[in-house]
Amino acid sequence: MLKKRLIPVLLLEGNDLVKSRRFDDPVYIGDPLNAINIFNDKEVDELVLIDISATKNKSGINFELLEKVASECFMPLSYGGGIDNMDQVGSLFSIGVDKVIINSALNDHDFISELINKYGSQSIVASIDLHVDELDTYYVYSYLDKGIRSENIRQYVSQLEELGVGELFINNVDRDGCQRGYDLNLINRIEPYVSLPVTYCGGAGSLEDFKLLADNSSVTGLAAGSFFVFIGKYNAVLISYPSSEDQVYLLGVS
Amino acid sequence: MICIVDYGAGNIGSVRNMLRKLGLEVIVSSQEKDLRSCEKLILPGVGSFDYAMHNLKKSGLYDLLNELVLYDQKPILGVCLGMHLMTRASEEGVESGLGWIEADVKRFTLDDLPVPHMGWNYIKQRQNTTPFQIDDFRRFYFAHSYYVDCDHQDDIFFETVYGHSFVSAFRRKNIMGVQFHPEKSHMFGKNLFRFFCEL
Repeated sequence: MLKKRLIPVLLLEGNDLVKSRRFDDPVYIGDPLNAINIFNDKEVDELVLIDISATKNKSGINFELLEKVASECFMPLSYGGGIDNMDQVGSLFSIGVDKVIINSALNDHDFISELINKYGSQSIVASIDLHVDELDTYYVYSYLDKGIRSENIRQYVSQLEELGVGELFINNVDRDGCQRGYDLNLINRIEPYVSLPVTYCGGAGSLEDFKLLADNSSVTGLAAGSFFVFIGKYNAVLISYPSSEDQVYLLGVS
Repeated sequence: MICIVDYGAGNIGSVRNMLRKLGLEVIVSSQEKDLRSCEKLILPGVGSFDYAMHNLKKSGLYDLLNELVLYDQKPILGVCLGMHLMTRASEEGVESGLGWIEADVKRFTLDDLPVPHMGWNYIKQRQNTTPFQIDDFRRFYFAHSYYVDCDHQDDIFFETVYGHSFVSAFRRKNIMGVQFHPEKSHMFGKNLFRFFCEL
């Protein structure tokens, strides 16, 4: 039986670790290397690193930092941010990144096909940001222009599946940083037409939230940002991860 | 000294990082003299079967590996795609494999489970791993769409269930292959590398 993964999602901005709220207002959390060492000691299932400034501010990929991170990471490490050419991806894999997360460059189908041909589906993750409007309509959000990328989520997803990506990383923009629970309605709407493994992120604030998602959906990656780095109602920074006993409670296994 | 064979399509960085963490001397190379002088070889792998086999054949590593592994009996560990390359052939491509183990690589066709098989899964031991205990190899990280099917039960080292049972590790004398990623499996992976180093 496959263990569902509990995945901390860490956001980078330059050399800083930050945390956003609804994809906005990143606040400084601390030093990424320090945080990653703690997650490594806690033997987390997987780590996701997203550089939120790499594409937006055209700052490029911070290879120097990633190399230091990867050399201490003995769990699966996925990286996203600023990826748009083959050379970058080659460098990322050679320093020890396991999976690349693509968002903006998903529009470039030739690039995605080339990536899959060279590195295989299992190392290519498609990141999809979903947003709900006042009319309760969900659509694929574009964080670069804060607009609509696609109104047809189903079509968008099936196109990516046809291209051959290995995994979907679904972000709920509206719940990002809010810690009031996952939007189960959203994931339950999508999962009937997805055959790929899905990691879902946005809204986890308690162990119960993870349990609700684990028990009521088929997602195999339970991801969160704030939950793993904040504690208390004033969001004091403290890195934590469910213990073996908590994992047995959540997932039935550890 | 352990040599990670660099054939242009590997998860080389992470394997090297973990071996170094274990305090082992490690070199990443495609040079004949390094492959000959090292005590053990690791054949890593992320990528597609044909691309990898094509690179091995083009670079001359194909003949060299056959000599070192089959005649000199040098211990070798194939990881993920590296394990697949040790078999006869894969449904992922048209190239023939190294053919050291009588096995074929097949694609998962599962009705109600997503492919790739991605995440932490548990193993069942089929060979003796003394001095290591069952709990030392409890679970490992997997990320693959194709799996190995061995002709001979005796070659099977670990089995794992995903939809059905498949070979998550094989071992015959000096040749060992693992479907999972020990370099990404925390202490369980460290134990696996320690086991290989004692072969």
